Amino acid sequence: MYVSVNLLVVKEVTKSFGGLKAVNNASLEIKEKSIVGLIGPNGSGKTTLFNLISGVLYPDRGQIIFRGLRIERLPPHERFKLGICHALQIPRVFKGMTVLENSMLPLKGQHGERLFYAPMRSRWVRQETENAQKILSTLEGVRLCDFYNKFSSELSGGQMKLLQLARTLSGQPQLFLLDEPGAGIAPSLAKELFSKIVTFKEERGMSFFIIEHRLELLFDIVDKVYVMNRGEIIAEGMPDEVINDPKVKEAYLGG
Amino acid sequence: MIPELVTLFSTSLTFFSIYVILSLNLNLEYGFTGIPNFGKVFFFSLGAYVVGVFVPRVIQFVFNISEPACSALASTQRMSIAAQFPILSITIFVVSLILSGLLGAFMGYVISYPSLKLRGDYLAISLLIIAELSRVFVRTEPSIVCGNNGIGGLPNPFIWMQDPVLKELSYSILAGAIAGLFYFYIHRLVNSPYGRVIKSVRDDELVSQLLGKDVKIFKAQILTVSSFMSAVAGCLYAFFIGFVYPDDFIIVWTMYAWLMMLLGGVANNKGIILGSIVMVVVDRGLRRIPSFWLSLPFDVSYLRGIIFTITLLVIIMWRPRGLLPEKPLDTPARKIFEIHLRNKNSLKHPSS
Repeated sequence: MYVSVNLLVVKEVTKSFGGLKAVNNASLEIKEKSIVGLIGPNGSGKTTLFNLISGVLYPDRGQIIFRGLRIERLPPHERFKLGICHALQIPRVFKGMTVLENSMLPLKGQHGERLFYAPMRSRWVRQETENAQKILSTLEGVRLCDFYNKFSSELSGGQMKLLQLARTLSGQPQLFLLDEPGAGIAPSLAKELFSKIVTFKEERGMSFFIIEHRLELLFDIVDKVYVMNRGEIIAEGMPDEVINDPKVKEAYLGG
Repeated sequence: MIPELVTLFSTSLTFFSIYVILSLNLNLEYGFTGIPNFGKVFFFSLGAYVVGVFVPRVIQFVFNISEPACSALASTQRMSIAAQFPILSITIFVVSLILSGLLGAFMGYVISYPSLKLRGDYLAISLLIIAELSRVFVRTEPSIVCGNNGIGGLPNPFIWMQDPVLKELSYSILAGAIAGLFYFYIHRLVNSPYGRVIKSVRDDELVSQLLGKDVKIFKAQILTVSSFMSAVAGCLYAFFIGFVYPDDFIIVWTMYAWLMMLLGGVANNKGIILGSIVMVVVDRGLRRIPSFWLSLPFDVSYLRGIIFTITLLVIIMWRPRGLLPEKPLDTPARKIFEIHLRNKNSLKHPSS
């Protein structure tokens, strides 16, 4: 029998900023090949929790275990190499780089990224060509292919968001942290995006951890939901259970 | 007339090469990687100090000259010895070129450590201070390059050519070749996946880290490589002037490098060439105009400073990224997309 194992375990993690406990004793588990949602009112510590997992911030206390490895002290680039990708809430694209360059950047194991090989084109030209073929379909998927040679500063806000998604996807993560992927994207595209997430899960065996306020989109695809309020995880479970939880009703839905 | 023109050409070419190397490096650091190096002259001066320390001592040691290295007599003795031994003078030149490059690279690597901790303006100011401090130190410490007096008698590698015009011309061509080599190297270096990474470090360090790039290593590499080249430029300068004098290495060199980069184009290597040409024309040109032509109420050498300052202000106000804009990197991936889009469009409009 196939036992699905925990991809990510967060154990009693705490992070404070001055006197404010942004994340307080939070524990959660994400299984392999699953889609997990994280909801909660504004300022409840969702983004801070994501930042702790991806390495933008380091926790004051607690453990973060990814595939059996403790990672809470690792720098962000090491966590990326292990397979954690974080798409930030406000899209931060590299503005002085084209759409193509942005999305080629996260590909792993590029020979041409080494100082000594970079000036020797023959060393990396074949790999670069293969990588470009891979990126082609990703950029087609978010409808940015036509703009490949545009500087990403010329894109609209929504397109930047899509570019950020495509860019993070090209890093081929095991665990994809998505901070409000649906915000600022046209409804039809947002729907398509969420159905794509399911496809990615099935085809590539990726796991997703998603912060999203558009519950109707989120609840269609998730296997499990965590609810945060004031830095604490106040509820977890299937979407239907969670939404009927009186604590959640009070905190998030306003009674 | 003709020898004079040749000398003008070779002087201009030498200075052009030195300027190109300096501003190319600055462009690599600031334009591509976002490190505001306001201590460029420090790395530049390192190369010159290596020449000032190494060359006299080697010649004095090999030929057993007992005069102190700083004396005028020792200096003339060194020159006449070097003129007799072509192989020796060329060897000394090559070795000091390598030594200064290595010292520059080492210092660049060392400096990269504080630069990882400091950000933007703070880094710029600390590098500025390092450059000034080192100059004052070398100036007051007589054992390095004879302190305030500076050290002469540093033979040009082509000193054995009897004709001084030919000597300078050969030297300028050599300097030009080195600059060309560096240009080619940097051009290849940035138009690669490596160039993508350093640009991402410049644009957003945190996101670059989140996408798996070890920002520290890339910054250290860039500072090492560009400091290597800057020190080589300093070495070329010292051999060209034949004299190393600490007060030569004032902040103006850094400012020139910034001016050339900002004028030509940030993160555009062709712009650097343009900026350097403008610089050499204005700089060398104004030196050749006698003061009485312009009937200025002050020395003509101040005019340069005024022109450069005004240019800098105008650029910063109206074209902060320079005359030539930044271009997308030239990697094979672009071609793949070009072909793909062409095929797609021809399917849509089969008639055209």
